[in-house]
Amino acid sequence: MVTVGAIGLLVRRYLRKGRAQLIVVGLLAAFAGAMLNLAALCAFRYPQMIDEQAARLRTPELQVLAASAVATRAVDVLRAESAVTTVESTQRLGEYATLPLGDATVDSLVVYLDLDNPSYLGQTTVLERDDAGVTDPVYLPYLFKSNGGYAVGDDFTITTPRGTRTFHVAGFTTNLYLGFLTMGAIGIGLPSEGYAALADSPQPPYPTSIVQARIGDKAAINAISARVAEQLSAANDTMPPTWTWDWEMLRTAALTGPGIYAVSLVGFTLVVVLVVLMVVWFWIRGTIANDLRALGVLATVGTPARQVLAAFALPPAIVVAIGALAGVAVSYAAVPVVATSLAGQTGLPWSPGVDVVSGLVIAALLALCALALAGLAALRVLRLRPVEALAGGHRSRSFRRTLLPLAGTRGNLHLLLGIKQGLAHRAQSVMVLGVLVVVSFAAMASASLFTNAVSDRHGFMQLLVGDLGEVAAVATQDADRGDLLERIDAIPGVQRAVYKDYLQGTVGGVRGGLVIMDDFAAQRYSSVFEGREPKHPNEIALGAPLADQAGVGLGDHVELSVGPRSQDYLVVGKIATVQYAGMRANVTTGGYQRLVPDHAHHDIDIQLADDASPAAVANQVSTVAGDRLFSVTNQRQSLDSQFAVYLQMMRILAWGILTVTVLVTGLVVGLMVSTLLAAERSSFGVRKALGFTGSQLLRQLVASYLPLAVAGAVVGCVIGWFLVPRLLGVSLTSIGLANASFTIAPALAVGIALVLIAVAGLTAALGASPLLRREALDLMAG
Amino acid sequence: MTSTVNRRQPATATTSDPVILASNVSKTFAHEGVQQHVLTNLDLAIRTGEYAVVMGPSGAGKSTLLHVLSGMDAPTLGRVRVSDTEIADLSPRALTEFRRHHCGFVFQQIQLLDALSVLDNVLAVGLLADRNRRRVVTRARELLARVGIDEATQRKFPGMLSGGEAQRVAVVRALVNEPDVVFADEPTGQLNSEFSRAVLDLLSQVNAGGQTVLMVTHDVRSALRGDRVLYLRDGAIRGECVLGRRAPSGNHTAYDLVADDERRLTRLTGFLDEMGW
Ligand SMILES: Nc1ncnc2c1ncn2[C@@H]1O[C@H](COP(=O)(O)OP(=O)(O)OP(=O)(O)O)[C@@H](O)[C@H]1O
Ligand SMILES: [Mg+2]
Repeated sequence: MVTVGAIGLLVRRYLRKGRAQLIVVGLLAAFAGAMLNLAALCAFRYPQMIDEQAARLRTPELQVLAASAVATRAVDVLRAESAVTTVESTQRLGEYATLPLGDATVDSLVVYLDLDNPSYLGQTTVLERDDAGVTDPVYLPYLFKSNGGYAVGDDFTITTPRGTRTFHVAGFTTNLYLGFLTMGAIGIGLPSEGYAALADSPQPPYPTSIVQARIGDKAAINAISARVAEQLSAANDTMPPTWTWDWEMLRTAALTGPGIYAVSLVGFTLVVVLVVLMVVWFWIRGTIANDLRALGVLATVGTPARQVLAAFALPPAIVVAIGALAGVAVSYAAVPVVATSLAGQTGLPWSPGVDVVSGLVIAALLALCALALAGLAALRVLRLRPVEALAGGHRSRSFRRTLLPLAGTRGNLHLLLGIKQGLAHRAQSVMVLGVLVVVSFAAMASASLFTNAVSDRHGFMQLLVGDLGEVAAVATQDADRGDLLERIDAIPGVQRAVYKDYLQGTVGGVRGGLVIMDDFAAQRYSSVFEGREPKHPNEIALGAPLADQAGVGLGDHVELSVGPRSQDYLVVGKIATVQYAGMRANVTTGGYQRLVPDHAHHDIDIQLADDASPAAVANQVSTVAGDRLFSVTNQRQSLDSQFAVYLQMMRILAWGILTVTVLVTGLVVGLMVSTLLAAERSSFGVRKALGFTGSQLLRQLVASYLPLAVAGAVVGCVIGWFLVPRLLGVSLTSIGLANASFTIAPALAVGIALVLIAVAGLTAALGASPLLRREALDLMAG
Repeated sequence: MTSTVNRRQPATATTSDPVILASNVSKTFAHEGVQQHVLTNLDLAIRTGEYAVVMGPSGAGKSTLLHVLSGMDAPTLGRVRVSDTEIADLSPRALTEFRRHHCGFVFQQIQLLDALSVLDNVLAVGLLADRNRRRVVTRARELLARVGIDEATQRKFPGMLSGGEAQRVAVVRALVNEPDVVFADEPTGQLNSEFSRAVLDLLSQVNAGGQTVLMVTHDVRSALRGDRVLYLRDGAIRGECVLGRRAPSGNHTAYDLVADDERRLTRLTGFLDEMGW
């Protein structure tokens, strides 16, 4: 087999001359492999971990938290359901409290768990336990370690409207229902003695029951939880108020973070893979063009074209596979960062082991893409006629026209010579252009998502949850409602205090949250994006997903039921909100009283002047009216700490993507420059000999691709400018935010373009600097 | 910029100061541990306005000598002065600029720039030294026409040219800036007699205008154009044959010129025999 030897030589030459391409393709494949592996871990292993935890902790399908006095109603409802297999009611203590979390605080319902008398369902795992070492030991959900930075032995002081409780951290726990920051109730573990001491303290928390049910038929969960909520809705004034969660809801919430990671990483992997494919394509096409004569010789001696094809297509695929595997391996180093940021939302520690199979699948997948494209690029070999090949591509040269003839074109000589050089290396120029378009678009997407969330943090939060006062309070049952509001209104810094009740109901057969106000015009910001807020007792505004599920639109009539009563309402508006995942309705007080005639307000929404401190006002509220309030909450603070988790995530993503963007740009431009230098080495020598200085040559080199880099960056940013806000808008509409409008600051777009252009310029200057130093004859020697 | 012609001595002043002065020049190449002394203690003076020819066996170091004298390569030892400038004293950048304005070079391997058309190859160098586009274009077109490169060929790219066409373009490129010294390394190596003559006439003509020419050639008839033929062998100039100034063809009848050339030929062949050519 003589020809195999010839092919071997050809391949060796192709790999030797394509060393830069090999490195770039390998590195990019590593990026892609790493990102895909992280995405796979988030998309598959995280849910798997959660499901395993759920099974291990005997997590119930439904959990209700209620004042012990009313909890029996929930138990009765659940016992009557045929789909419910097990019901357990556990007596605990609960109260509203402010918890320190790192530098911030969280206002939440706190449930004290007796760790030595565990429930059968919904168990709590203690990750570390060190009672002996500390006095007043307390066990905190893992997120206090991952987000708050607590360690065993630290002080932990809980503030309630009726005083403070001081503990020392003795360990950390996981509990699927009560370990989430964003779910509204946090379980705090105590050893038996500590629990008993708390129950016997002068101001003990309220008796609270955790009612848990296993439901065999998953399809029945929604209906059952609706019936439980109906039964308990008449008991809205209890302390603590009733909370109902089902496992599907919780699981979905827990998987939002990993989902966002996975989708963003896959999206950006696509960008990198696109770049890899472009590099491979131009690499192979370039090699074929350069080695046409050798290929012609091979063809004339009868080498099967198939062999030649394989010789060209296999090496890039192998390099991609190796690079991807390396990337997968390295990506495990980034797992702790991702795991910590996810723990902030789910309260679950996560350290996935190495998954060899998924690594191999990822590498194989990427390698296959490269192989397919490389094969496609190399197909040209099959169509090659020996004579044409032997002519060495001279034919194509004879059709070349002189663009920008020096005799007739104004402009800087070096700029013109550079542009001519760029035109002579068309394939590479197209590559630089394409890569910069793709990469700057991706940078725009990530940066704009990040800046929209961060720069206008409160606007962004308002967009998500609607109008929330900076401080909220819950009135006790017997408080004089009018007097209470007047007292709070009189506090300096308070702009307005209004009653805004958060309740539950069933709209058109679908369970959802209800927001009750005397006058919705008292809000500073309305989430209604279509129609208007309800004004009359027979009107209702629905969250877009709720309206969709209930199958009603503007102008339709819909039935709202609370407990045993139902009434007909006219849909006058649609609300965009992520509260209750969009399953929310607005009804006026008059409208709600058609169902519950003796309804009295209890949730107070306190709006502050711009310069007022929520913490100070919250204190004032406690002082002025503490005895008539169940709780006072610094909403601004608790929203901030909930959003901090998401912001942290976006920060990680945005920086990660921007870093990869810059690296990809650098790599591709570096590749282009090194290829150009290799191909034009002797011509640069000649130029130097003819009297061009090193810096003039550098200017020519930069001019040969910088216009393209600039054009690519500008085009990418312009496309991003128009497309990114729309894409983000569409994706937010799908989670209930129909009126989300994203803007991209012009400065940001210009900044991204400039950064990418600067990276391109810098890479080129670094890559070309040897040119400044080498002697003319040296370069000409080739 | 003032025309470079003004700075030059009249054509007859061949006895004035040397424009190139090489003293004790040695050049040693080392490749894979083997040292090769190509030039050893070479002394040489080329006078302003002179037309000097270097001959010698292949591999003797003629190209190397031209590289060293034109500042494209540094001698291992010794000093080179060109137009009163000590080459070794110049920074790389200053040297490049010096070469740009004072030296024109025709490479033995031609070395046209592939990405540029024929005309652009000449203009790129021309515009580097002279910003007046119209003047440069006119000069380039005129020179190209003089060596038989027509308009159509001027638009071609180097890859499409015949060897002879490419060589003629290379000569024009070396002349376009009207350098003080034209270094021509076998400028007629690829040419048939007709185009050889065109190129040689052009070189003679610029020499008559005051530019110094230093040409390497293997061709005895080409060498006859020179005022003086130097013979390089074993690393140094082993002898020189002074032919004297050849009468410009315009001032003589064809008969005179032939007679003159016959005399010069006899003299040169005698010299070359002596040198062991
Ligand atoms: N860069 C280099 N490295 C090593 N050796 C070199 C180098 N350049 C030239 N040489 C050697 O120096 C010697 C002289 O080369 P040069 O090109 O000057 O010869 P020449 O007289 O011009 O020959 P020719 O008439 O064939 O053109 C040769 O033996 C050549 O191999
Ligand atoms: Mg030579």
